[in-house]
Amino acid sequence: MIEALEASTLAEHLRRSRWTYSLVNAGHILGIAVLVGALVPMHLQRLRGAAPLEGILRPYAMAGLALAMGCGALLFLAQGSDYLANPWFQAKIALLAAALAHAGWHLRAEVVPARAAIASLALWLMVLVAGRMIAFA
Amino acid sequence: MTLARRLFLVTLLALPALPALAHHGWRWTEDGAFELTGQITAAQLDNPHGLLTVEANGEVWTVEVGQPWRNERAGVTDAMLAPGAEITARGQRSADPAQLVMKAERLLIGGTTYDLYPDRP
Repeated sequence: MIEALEASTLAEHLRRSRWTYSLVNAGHILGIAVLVGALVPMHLQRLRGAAPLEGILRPYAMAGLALAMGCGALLFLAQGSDYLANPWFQAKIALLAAALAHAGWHLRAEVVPARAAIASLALWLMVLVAGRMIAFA
Repeated sequence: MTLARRLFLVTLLALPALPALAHHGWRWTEDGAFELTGQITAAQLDNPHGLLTVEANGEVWTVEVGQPWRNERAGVTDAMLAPGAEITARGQRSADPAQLVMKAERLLIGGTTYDLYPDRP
């Protein structure tokens, strides 16, 4: 399965291209920037007890997440088996699954409870750190 | 102190804890010229980083070469860097003497020199 993905024309192009890989990489970072850039003020606003920002910032967080996951899937495609063997990648995917499940649970809440805001902040920042660490395994 | 300020400070304090292992640029290398001759035992030549494992004088070195576009520009093909090939890499080694890692500026393969960084003297 993973070998078939790695052998695909798209994966081969990503591995050899001068610009595609770099731009997909940049897209992944942009997605993370928009996601975290929306999440952090949204949750901090809640924890400070200030006017809720969920209604405004949640769509941005979701758009950033979609971009990060789309570009991330392409980066994974280029060298999937290397990533699967990387302990930081495994940790990141486990944390990502937890963060997504947690976000799904509170998706409809107009204002998330303070405890959930803290959990969400912690989970997404751990996903970010684990993701960055993949390159330093 | 507000929560935002506290989080900001914690983030700032945590930054230096990240290991500085990304080998972009030349800040991590020694200034002097370095040369290594040996046999390639493994090669990873795809994006994002070209890495050779080279056995030289009983030591196992990591030689950083170019990404696909840089190797291609220099005239180096993947076949030339296949395991078993004998190469001489010229460039700079890690400033940490315990690290058997170098970044190649030029590769000597079969008597021909291939210049990965034509702009570097």
